[in-house]
Amino acid sequence: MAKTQTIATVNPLRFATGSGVYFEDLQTVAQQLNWAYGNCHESHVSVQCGADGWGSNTNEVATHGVTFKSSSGLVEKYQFRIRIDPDTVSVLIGAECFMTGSDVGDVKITVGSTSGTLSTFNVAANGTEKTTTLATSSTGTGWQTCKVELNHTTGSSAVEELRFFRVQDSPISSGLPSPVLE
Amino acid sequence: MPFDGRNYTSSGLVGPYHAHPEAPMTPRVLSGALRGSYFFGRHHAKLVGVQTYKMFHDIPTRFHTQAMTFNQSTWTELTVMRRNVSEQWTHMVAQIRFAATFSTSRAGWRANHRIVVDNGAKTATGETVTTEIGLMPNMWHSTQPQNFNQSSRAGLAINLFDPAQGISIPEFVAVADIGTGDVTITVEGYCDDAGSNAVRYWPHMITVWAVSAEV
Repeated sequence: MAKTQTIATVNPLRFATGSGVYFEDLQTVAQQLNWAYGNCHESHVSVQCGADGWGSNTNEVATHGVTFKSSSGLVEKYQFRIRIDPDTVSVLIGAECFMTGSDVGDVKITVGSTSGTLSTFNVAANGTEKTTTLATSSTGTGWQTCKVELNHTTGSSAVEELRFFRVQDSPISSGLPSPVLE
Repeated sequence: MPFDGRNYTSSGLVGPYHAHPEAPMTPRVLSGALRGSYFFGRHHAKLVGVQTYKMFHDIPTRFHTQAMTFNQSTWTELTVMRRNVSEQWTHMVAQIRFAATFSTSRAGWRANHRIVVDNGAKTATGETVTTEIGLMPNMWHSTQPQNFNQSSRAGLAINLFDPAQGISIPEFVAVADIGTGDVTITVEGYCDDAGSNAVRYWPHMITVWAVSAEV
């Protein structure tokens, strides 16, 4: 059974010396704590990999300069491990690319046992982040391995960049599970 | 003012005697528990992101292209991060490590940084934090900045902002003007008083947190 989350207030008269305290008050406190917990979501990784027009050259070189391979096929660029709290309901993955000409690429981010593909990065999508969420029922919780892979689906230019990616927990607005009974 | 424990920073201490099986539930205990729940949220500062950069001396032959040249007072994007923010957090704080070289006198040379937060509809700009590079005694200074080598690396000044004087958004702006949800956080910088002199600037690492202010 999911726990109720509420931004709660309690009647100030409840805090006067000698006043009664009722079960609703305890529920209110518990719901407030649930809300606070659900909105303390983690940021696992957030990396800017390359950007255009930075510095004295026209291309980004001072960050990681991660580019798509000049031909199609998935190429792994990053691998890292994150710890997903058992109460987390979903994980947000996002990426932004900088493409030129008519080239098109996809970014596939794997979290644990599942993955999401952020598709069709092209010139029109420059400056726009694409995101999706992965349910922790699919990714798994605890320590999980993540991968970021690029696929240059259209074109052969060598300057197409992965500009940014992130893996973050989504805030828990509903579905905060009850504690696991030992 | 209506009671709104979110304004409380007390940890809501509840005495151990209240845990006795026959102890009465009192208003004080209730108040302590509610304050504790607010405190939990307010004091869970969270990471927004860590941005690393190539260290120029790792590829010395590419020194010139690895550097970022500042010679004008124009805010320049250093990194962009995105994060879903909660209303429990009121400020963004950044810690920035960087190095710089300049080819003439270092007197009056300053580096400026700030955070800009945008939710797609509104923008909040944090205060500008200025670092007086000219006052740093160990700042590497040469008329031939391309002559980097391992021994000169130790002489590079890496400025570490004191988190206590981090770049901040005015109180509650993040909530009232920006709103919660996914926001874009940009860390910007520029160097001034450089005139026409070529100042080279290398960010090494930028870390950003979302925190709650003490109110």
